[in-house]
Amino acid sequence: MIAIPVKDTGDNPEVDERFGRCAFFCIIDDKGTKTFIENSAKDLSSGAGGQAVSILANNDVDVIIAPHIGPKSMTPILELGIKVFSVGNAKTVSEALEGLKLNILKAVGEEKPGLRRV
Amino acid sequence: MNIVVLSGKGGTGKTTISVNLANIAGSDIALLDCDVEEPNSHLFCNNEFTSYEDVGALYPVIAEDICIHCGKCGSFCNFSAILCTKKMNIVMPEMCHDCGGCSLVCPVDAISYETRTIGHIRRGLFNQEQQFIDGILNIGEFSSTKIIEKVLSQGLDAKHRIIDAPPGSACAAVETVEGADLALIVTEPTPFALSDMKMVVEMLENMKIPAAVFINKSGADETELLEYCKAKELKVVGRLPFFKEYGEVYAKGGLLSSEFPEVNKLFVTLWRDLVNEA
Amino acid sequence: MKHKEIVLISGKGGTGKTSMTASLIPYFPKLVIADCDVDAPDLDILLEPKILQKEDFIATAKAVIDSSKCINCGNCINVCRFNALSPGDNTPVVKEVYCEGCNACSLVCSSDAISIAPYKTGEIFDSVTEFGPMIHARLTPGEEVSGRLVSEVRKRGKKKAEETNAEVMLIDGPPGIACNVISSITGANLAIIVTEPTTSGLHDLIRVHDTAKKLKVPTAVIINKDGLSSEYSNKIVSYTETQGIILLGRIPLSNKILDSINNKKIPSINAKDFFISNGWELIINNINKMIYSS
Ligand code: SF4
Ligand code: SF4
Ligand code: SF4
Ligand code: SF4
Repeated sequence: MIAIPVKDTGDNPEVDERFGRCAFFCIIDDKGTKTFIENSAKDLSSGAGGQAVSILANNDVDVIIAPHIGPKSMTPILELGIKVFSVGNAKTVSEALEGLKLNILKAVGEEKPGLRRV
Repeated sequence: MNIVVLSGKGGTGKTTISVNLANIAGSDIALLDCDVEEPNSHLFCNNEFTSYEDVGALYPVIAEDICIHCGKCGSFCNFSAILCTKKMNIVMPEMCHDCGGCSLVCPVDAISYETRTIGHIRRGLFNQEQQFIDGILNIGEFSSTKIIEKVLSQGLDAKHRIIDAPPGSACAAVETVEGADLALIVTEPTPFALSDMKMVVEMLENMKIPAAVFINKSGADETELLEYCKAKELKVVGRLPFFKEYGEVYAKGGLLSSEFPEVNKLFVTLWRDLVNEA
Repeated sequence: MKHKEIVLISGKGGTGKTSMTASLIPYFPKLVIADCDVDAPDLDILLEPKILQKEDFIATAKAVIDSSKCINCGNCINVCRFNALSPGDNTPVVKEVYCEGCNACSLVCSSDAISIAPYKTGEIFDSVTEFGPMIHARLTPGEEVSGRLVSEVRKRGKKKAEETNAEVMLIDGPPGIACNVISSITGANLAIIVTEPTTSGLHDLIRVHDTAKKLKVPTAVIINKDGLSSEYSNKIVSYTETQGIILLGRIPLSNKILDSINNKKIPSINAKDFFISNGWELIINNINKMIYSS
């Protein structure tokens, strides 16, 4: 499952620049079907990114495509083994998916920072 | 006796006043710098630190063999320091506020705590005879109160303690001022400084701490400032005018009270008045 | 065309950042002003904005005790690690400044008397000045500067700039080097660091510049209070040279700026000759060049 932060729902929604505080996540399954989940973490005063990651993990997401992910969200993402790609110039979900298919999106955060296993 | 030196936001020379007061206040004092996010009294103290002590905060560790993955700790934590996912629990120590709540909600006692370092305090001598202690919060940490608490627990054997508070009126300043005998508010005769100072005065009023005002860089029109002080019954206990020569000494990290006899006299009088006042 | 964002920062404060921000204002005709210096919002003293709208900003939550349910057992006081609860006559007293809203107290309250309720962090104002619209804010006393309040002021400034077709948004940035500064300069077209020739001025310049560099924000420096120490002015100049930072100009230490502030006037208007003779127009030209070349 692939997740992309988006500004609204619809056929081809626009990518939201903010990961932890985006309005919705667009989840795309192997068949290309889109579902939307509301980002209930977006109004948290702190730690929105981490909570957003756990929402995605509990929806079996293993790939995230996003414009920018802060270091505090990267920690749990790496820990969970989720892959992250930067959207690059893509502005919409279709463009982002196209980029992924063509293998032109840049993978981010390969190297693991000092993590604490629990 | 504890004298806290504080100011509104925006650099009115709070540190200058504290270090110069300490410089002339005799041997039986301790100077504590509680501005742990930007401690800079040490720049003026020309001293060497003789000992360091780490300050720690707790973070939870989950015993995976006991944990039943109920998710209660993760949904309890208001700071997202524990994320409970289907796959695993992830603890982010640097997000933890050390509230102790997660172990209270855990039904099977799977949570214990370990300590991580969030900063340290340093001890040394200022003028070869006075105690000097400051604290430093590591970059990226948010909880200065633990470091401040540690700094404030030092130098208790000195007759008087001069405490340099963090600027402003937020939590860290409140923590520093708590229990002080007297607060010395450092301000300047400008509308900006007056506006910033009002929040500090409000804080001190709420905490019922007696306060006095010191006007740094005096020389400009003080009418508005004095009217405010009068309305709030705040006594103006001293003034330090601004001269270019003072600025030069300050710029190099020098002590005005050592370089200029008139400044020395001014601080000696101020110190005497403060001790009488408190 | 999208507006350009210029933000002024200084590190610790006291270097005259607000005076410099104010002095730039008259030189940008189609302007929106955003005061992100939310714990010392002093621009309004010079600009006398007319407040059109005022809104509460809520970013934290704190404990509230329902006295009709509380049996004053004191359990909550013992569990609170932040000394935010102290004994009271009928119920414990919450010291809001210390409360972190962690919710531990309500866990141990058998009478269900404690809830964690939204708490006002500050107020945001939507105003107009004679130079253009202005967004500013004020913190509730005792509250910490919140990165979210800073971001919110900037976000509303941006929206205002779009609505009014402004060319420039000028931001008086927050003090310090921490996350608040990051939220106010990320993505800006130009960050102007206002420094002064002192040991702490240089120290802060280096720290703030490091932050801006990491965020890839173009930076430039103004030395304020030049003449205070020629030794430190030289150190700053050589730092800008080795780092390749543009030195926009040097404003001498002078009573003229202080007098303007004391008269609640914008320094570059009140002491116009002083500013012009110290190259203020050249500074403005260079700023324009920098923001329109990026
Ligand atoms: S101690 Fe408090 S802040 Fe830390 S992880 Fe547990 S619940 Fe969260
Ligand atoms: S509350 Fe205890 S048992 Fe439940 S997930 Fe957390 S650690 Fe595991
Ligand atoms: S634990 Fe509940 S009942 Fe007991 S003092 Fe606190 S609020 Fe009151
Ligand atoms: S919410 Fe946490 S910090 Fe606030 S009073 Fe309760 S236990 Fe203390």
